[in-house]
Amino acid sequence: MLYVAWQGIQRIVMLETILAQKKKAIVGKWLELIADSYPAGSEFFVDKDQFTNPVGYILSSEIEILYDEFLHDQIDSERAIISLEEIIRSRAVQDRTPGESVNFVFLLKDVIRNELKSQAKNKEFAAELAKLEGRIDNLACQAFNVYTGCRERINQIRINEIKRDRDNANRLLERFARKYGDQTVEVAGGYDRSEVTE
Amino acid sequence: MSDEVTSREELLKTIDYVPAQQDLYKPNLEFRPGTWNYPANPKKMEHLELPYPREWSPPDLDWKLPENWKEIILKGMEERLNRYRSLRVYLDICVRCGACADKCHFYLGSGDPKNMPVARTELMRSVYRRYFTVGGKLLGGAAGGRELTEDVLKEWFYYYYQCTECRRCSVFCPYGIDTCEITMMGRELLNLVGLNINWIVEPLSNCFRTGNHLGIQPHAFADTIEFAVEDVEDVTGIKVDAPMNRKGAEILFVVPSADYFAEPHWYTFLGYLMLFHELGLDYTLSTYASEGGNFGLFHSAEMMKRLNNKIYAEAERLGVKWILGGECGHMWRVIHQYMDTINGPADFLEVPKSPITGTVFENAKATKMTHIAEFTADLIKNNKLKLDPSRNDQWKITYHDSCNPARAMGLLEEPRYIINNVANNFYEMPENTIREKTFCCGSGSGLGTDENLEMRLRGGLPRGNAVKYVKDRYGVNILTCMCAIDKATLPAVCDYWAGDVAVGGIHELVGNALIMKDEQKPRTVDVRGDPLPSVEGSEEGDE
Amino acid sequence: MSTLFGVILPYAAIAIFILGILYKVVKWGRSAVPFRIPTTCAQAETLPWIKRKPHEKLDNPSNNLAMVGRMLLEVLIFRSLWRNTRAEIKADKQKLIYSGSKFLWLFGLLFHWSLLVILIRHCRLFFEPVPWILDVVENIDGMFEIVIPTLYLTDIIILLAVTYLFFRRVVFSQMRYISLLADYFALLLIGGVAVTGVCLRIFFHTDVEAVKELAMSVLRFSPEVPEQSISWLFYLHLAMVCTLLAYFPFSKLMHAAGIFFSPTRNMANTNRVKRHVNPWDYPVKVHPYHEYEEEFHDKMEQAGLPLEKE
Repeated sequence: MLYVAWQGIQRIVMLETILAQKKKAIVGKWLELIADSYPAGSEFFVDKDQFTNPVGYILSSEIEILYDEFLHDQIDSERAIISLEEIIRSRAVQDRTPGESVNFVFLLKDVIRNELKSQAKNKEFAAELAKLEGRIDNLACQAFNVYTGCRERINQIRINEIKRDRDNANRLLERFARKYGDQTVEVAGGYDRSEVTE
Repeated sequence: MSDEVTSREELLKTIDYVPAQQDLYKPNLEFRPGTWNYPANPKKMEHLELPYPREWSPPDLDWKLPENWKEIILKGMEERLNRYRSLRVYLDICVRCGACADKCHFYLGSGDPKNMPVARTELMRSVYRRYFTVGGKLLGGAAGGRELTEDVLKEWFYYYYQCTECRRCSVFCPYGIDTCEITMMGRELLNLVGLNINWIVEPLSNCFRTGNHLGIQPHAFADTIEFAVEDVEDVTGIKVDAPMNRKGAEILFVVPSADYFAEPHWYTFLGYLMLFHELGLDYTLSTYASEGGNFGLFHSAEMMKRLNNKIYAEAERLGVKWILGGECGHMWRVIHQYMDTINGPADFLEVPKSPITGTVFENAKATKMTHIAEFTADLIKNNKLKLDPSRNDQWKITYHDSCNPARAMGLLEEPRYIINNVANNFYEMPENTIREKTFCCGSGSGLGTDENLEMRLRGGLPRGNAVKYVKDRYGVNILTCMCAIDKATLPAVCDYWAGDVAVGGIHELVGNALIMKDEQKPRTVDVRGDPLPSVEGSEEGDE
Repeated sequence: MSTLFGVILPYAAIAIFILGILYKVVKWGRSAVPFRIPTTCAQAETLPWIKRKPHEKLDNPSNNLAMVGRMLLEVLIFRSLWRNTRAEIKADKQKLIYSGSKFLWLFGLLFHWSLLVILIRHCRLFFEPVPWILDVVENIDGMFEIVIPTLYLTDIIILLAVTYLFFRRVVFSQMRYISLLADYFALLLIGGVAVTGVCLRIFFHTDVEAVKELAMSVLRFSPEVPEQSISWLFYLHLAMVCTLLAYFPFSKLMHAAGIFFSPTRNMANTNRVKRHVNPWDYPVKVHPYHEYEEEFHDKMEQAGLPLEKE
């Protein structure tokens, strides 16, 4: 019993070691696949300058971190969440469905399976691989949470903006009321005040 | 090896979402909510006597175009080709080298290839080739020509309202091709068949009637100014004078209307009032020319001229000597690059001369209008202001060069000089995101409306990203800028991309630091009404 | 055959080239420049104590002399493309990283300069005696005699540059997206001219004296096809050059002339100093003050604002 468990742990450690060794190739492929999902194509990511191409920079640096967290079974870690936020924040405002915004996580499955093709023939290995893939599924769930968070934030910003406009108007209206008493004041006569938002 | 590792192409087949390689000439017609602006209210169009007012909406299949829309557009194009060398030359000479491709904030934020400036221009260039060049007429598509169809027109609408006319691409283009020129022409052509957006037309209509975009009538204007005077009193204990429509004043002062209505613009406005009081400046505001900003720039050259007309006319009526302008972006594009041409010459005015320092602003010799940053920098240089920079210590400041003052004027050093003299903590954003390479807020040129928020956030990504960098690195907590649209829309951009960074103006900082002669008590709050750090500290000490 | 390719084609091509360019340039010239719209790429000349570095004076010219300087920088060293380039040291990798755009500037510059030198070299076909300056250019260009007969430096450079410029359009998806048939065609054509030219020098030596005789005669407007046979490869070379010439005025290659007409570059930032006149300016409908006061008279009076009409 113990022995079997021990063997299992050993295999997954071995698997992790292999995956760590192949990190460069895997992260590279992963990035390529993600890049391909941008309408502008992978060229968009040639320039990875932090400031002149933020999306390219963030993506290439954050998925590497994400991969490390994934390997160390730390997908719930604060750092992993930050990485997901960094990546998803821009995807959440681009022309994508919610699914398309987080599907980059699943691409990792394809990449890993592809890299481990030869080893995967081994039955026991395949079982461990499935466990790792479970981690990826969890990561995808995290990603979806983050995505939803981003969308909520956008809505909040929209509300804040409208509120700010309303507050601007109200502030003046209050002062008008103070100045003129209860008299109705025509601020911008002839025009619907609510349409004037700047 | 080869059977172990599948090629990228094979791998791509294994995933569901394979991007369709888009075709540059295939119109892209997805109008997703959050990425376009509401069409203009027909009533406002009628008020301005604009052609073909009607109810329509971008996601509709039928845009209710006039029957001869194609003829109108092509005729309009021909007319503009003769009127604007920029248009003709820029449509002819682009070599598609790609230098501009990754310079557009909308492209960087969206990854949509049609947001590459070269592609955005190609939307019109293809039509130009088809109808105005020999090759295109004969060979059509093979020579890069494209039929003008309704879909193409819709695509123009989509992408020409996805350009903020910021001119960043024109800095990097080896021939100086300015997509702004193309976008302006694109919009003029769309206007000819009644395709306008409300966020441009309504302010225009308001401005035409009342003198400002907000439609604030003169008595209400007088009230808001009075409120600002009250606020200054709350902060400084001084009741300042803010004259309006006063004949015989030396200077006419013109600001964008948001300055006396919206936050955080308001604080900058308080800063102006404090500064002018301290100087004893002989100036006046005007209710008639109560808008420096000019949304006409985003609509058509004609509309720009119709609105801008008020400034010189009012200066002449009031008999002022020269004009001073507040912090604004596109307002200054119009004043610096267009005003003298469209509504000058202003021979009735004198070359601006600072009554305090005696400096003559030779750089405004013809237009006779000086930027407040030039004016204030000159005051500081000549030691005319007593300043206490520690009263801005609550802020760690960065400065965003607004597109138009940067790339249409070259007003780069003055604001920095002022900030460095009125505050202690100033941190620049990375070199390739400031000065002439500055990134737009993503909401300029009439796109700063709430229904368009998602698109604005996309466009704001490069700027927000740079703000985040200085925030993480130096703890920056305020982004200062000299543009009314920036002040209105960067709060959202900062909120989403950087989080918790306020937005303010240069003269807000000046107002804070300015030591005023008439002040009886030490200042306890900044112009926002928040306690000053020194006071906070001493209060804690007392307790 | 040789008359067609050696005489008729060149005359036709040159005629199209000259007339075509004139047509375009006149067309551009007749388009108005209603507004002064320079793109300012540095601090403007404003207050006297704000000092500007020499390059800033060119990037934001405050007079026509500086504007000419700016244009020269643009034309001679591709100033704007240079701005595009970055050589950065990445902190994490301690490695100097050049972005792809650096190559665009470099290869663009190499391409255009070698094209110019090659053009100058070819001038010897049209002069008798050959001016000394051409000998100097040729000697410098042929400094490194790599293969015999002299393989010119510029020949190698232009082939490299054309190859790079072509492949970046094919390889990079972003470039592929914006590239049109015309873009490939122009590069292939120039590449073809270069390849045939190099071949003529190295592999299939042609009778240069005969070619020169032909060229001179064409220039004198008394074309004579020399008796010595000129190789078919030369005619191919010439035919491609003629195609290029005839294609030039109707294509993007006109950027060579167009840059001088670019309002964001060829105007000084004297906007508020000198009045610029719009030739097609017309009166527009405005909302004058008296109409405004008329509409809001009572409200203004109530608010205590000064009025024209009490």
